[in-house]
Amino acid sequence: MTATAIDSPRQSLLAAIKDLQKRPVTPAVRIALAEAEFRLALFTGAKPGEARKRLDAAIRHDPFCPKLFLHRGRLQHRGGKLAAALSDYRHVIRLAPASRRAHLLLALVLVDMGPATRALGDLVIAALNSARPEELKAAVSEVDAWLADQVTPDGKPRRVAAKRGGSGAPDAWRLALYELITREKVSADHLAELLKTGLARATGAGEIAEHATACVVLLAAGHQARRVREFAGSLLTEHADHPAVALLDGALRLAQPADPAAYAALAAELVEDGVLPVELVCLFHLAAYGPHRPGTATDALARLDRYPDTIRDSYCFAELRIAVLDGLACRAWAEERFAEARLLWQEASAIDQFRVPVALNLALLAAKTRSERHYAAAWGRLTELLYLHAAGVGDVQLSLPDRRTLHLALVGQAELRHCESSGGRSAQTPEQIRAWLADKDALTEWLRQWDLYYVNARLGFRSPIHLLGVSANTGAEDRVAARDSFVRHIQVALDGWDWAGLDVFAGLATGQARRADQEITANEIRDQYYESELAEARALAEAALNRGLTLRRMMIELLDRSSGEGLRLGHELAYRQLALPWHVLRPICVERGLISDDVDPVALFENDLVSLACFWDQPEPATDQERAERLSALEDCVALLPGNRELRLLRCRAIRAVGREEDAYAAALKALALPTAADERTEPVTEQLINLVDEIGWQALPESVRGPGRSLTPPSVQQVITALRKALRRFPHSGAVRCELARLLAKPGVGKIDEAIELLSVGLQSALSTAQRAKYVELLATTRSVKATLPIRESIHRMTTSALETARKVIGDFTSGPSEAKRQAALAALRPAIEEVTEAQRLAKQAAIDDELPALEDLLRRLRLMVAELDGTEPNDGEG
Amino acid sequence: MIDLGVESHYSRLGVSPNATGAQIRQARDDLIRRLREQQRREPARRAELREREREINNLGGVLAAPARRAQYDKDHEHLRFFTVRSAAAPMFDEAQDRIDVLHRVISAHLRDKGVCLRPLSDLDRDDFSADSTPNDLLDDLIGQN
Repeated sequence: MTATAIDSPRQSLLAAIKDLQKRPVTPAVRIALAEAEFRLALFTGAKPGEARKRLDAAIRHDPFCPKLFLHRGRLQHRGGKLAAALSDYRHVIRLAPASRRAHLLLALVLVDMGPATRALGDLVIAALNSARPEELKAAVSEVDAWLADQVTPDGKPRRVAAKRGGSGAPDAWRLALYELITREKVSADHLAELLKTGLARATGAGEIAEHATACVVLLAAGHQARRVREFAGSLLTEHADHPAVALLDGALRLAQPADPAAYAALAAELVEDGVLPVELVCLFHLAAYGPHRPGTATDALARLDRYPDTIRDSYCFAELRIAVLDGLACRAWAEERFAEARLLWQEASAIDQFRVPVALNLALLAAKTRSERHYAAAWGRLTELLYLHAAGVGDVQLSLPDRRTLHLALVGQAELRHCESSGGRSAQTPEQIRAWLADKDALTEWLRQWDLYYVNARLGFRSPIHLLGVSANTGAEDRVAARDSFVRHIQVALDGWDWAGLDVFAGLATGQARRADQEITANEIRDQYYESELAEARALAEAALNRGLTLRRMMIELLDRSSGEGLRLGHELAYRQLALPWHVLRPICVERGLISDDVDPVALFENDLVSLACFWDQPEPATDQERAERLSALEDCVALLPGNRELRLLRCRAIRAVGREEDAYAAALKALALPTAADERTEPVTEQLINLVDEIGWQALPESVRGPGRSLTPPSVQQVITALRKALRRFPHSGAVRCELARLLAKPGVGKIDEAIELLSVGLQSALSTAQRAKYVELLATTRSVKATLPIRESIHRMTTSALETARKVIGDFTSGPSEAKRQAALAALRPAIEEVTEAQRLAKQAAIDDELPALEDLLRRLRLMVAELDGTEPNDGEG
Repeated sequence: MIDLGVESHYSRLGVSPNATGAQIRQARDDLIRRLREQQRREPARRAELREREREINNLGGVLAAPARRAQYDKDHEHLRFFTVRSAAAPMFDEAQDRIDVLHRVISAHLRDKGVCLRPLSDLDRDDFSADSTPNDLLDDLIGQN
């Protein structure tokens, strides 16, 4: 297939790549592919990420093409990856030793890398300006020697002899000049030499612009206007109409000493006429009237107000105002005028509320002045900004060292309040731990700041292995566990803060953890940072271990107190404890003999929390608020260990304690639905949960039903049935209520035995445990057998009811007014009643209804006793 | 409230931890000059101000000497964070940034007036069309569109 009907150059290139990829891999095809990827990388609008990938692909196709490395280096240079850029530039020079572009970029990256390499950069620029190839080669050799020192550092910084540049090459004189004027000490001769080169070349419009611009830059760098005018030479007169020369002339006019009002008027006029850009005016203003000049803050700020709105509304002017305010505030700080410093920084913050240095300075001020009013807000805002900026640019690495340092310092401060040294395993005595636990501020700060420190420290590792906190030979399964553990730790650390952008930050951090895992899995990139970061990773693991041990000491102290008052804190401790990477820390604990090989620290900590939760109602909460607080702490414990039934049982009890029976019932059912292994430990908990469900149902019955013996007028069977039905509707899993209801419904005379069977069958379906099911089965069998003999039972019931009624009536009559006639009448009535019960007994025996026999026997005995008493004879146990 | 103990030599001088030796010396000298002026204005506080002057002199001496400064930085790493920082935009604060910004601003200003200022280096360029290399195979494929 060939590229067809494509409507944009980018699409054409993409189609061409597709086409080329289908062809046999020949050198020509590879070079064409490299060129296509290269053109796509440099396409206007290509994002840096895509451009980088394209250049990587191009280099894979053609690893000997210098321009590919040059542009990849340039991209990395612009993206701040200076070491990688340096490596690429150096490689270009190996492939194309005469490339001035590569040498220029090499020089620039060395300058940008900071003081350690700046002299090397200057050396290369000087060599470029000298136009002597041997000097250039020598300069590159110096760079190579420095690079070699980086691999095997000898501990001493390499000294590079300063080198004066030559008269200046067309492509390097400006770079040399700009580099020169940023130095603390500027060689006047060298400066003059370079500007002479610029002036000599200023014949065409472009070169005139270059020289005039160089003069303006010189002026902005603080060089005297008189000297700059000399450097400008004849340009000012011979090319006055050239826009760059007009700009230089305007800048020179502004640089003349003038009173502030005249300066503002002239600046406004030059900007209005399009001679000067507003940025130049702002820069010159700061140089002329900045905070370094003597005078009051009021005067300095009043000078800014002299500009017209057209200038004051510009973005650059807002920056100028911040620079002035900040400079004045720094001066006030140094002179210990702290109230003034605060006002000025607050003013700067009003212009840009997201500026980290302003927030930091205000926070430092609050700490310095020990201002309780400002302290928490100022430090909170600073921390928020450090996360917000990272979230804003989508890179957790932004401000990471600052965040790490801030959190670590706060951790250290919190520790030092009660411990002499920080972090050591044997550092805290029980007294120190007790004092620490009593200091809520310090403890809360330590608990929360440490996790933030840890998460940032991990994110700071460039090695994916150290980022996840695993070792080089960790298997895939453990690595996934480590990744998930770190992701949880990120959530724990960021939980509870209401900083803007935190969700985005959490997403980015989580993404980084996942990418680290993918990188290790794919094994695409050699973990080049593993060795160099190993010591730091070990130190962090040690810090995590110390944290875990300190948390345990605190938990043990809480357990020793045997009080539910410490439950909230206990939850906090366990929450942080369980977030630690125990898959990594456990082997260290075992190795050091802190735990035996069969101990799972996570289970240990869970057990600690459950043990502490057992004291939830000790001492008895005095108020509703205290009860609610204990319950809330238990809720959090359950949220932390959602699979733990014991904690759920305790929570159910706490819910009942605040009178929420329905909620307790629902919570108990939820706990019983959790999957769990049936073992010695869980079985009693399950039983207690079922008892709790039963009890909740039973307690829903009116007092008169629950304890009829205590009531003056015991309820009728029908009333009890109604109450039981109502309770069962509310708590259908209450076995006690269901069984009692079934039992009553199955009673002869009630006539609801089918309903009883149905009730028990439903109960059987939804039994909460094997034991409960067995109970239902047993009761169901009994009820069914009752149903089989129901007609006989009904007869027995009728007979006994009739006998009882007769007995009650005649005894009632007799005792109301005893007489011989009444005695005879009673005896006459009781004898047939005894016969009737005897017949009922016979029927029961015949039908083998054994469960009725004891009641019949008892009734018969009582009737005979009555007869004997009326007769004045001994009761006859025999027939008749 | 946590006591941060945020006094670093840098913060006492009111300079950034990244300040150059010259900036440190300048800050120290300015502070001492002001303290001396203050001693003249407020003779009653002379002893206190003199003590402060000595203190500034001492810590300025530490930071002005590269080896002592390096040792101080190493011993007080966290204090580099807890130090007053410049909140000004880099163009107002750093010479190199000032030049970069100025060059960009002037380039844009002149471009609006029809004058093209050559980029200082490849880092300032955006148009690299001249870097494409003719390639018959590729160009034929593209030409077929």
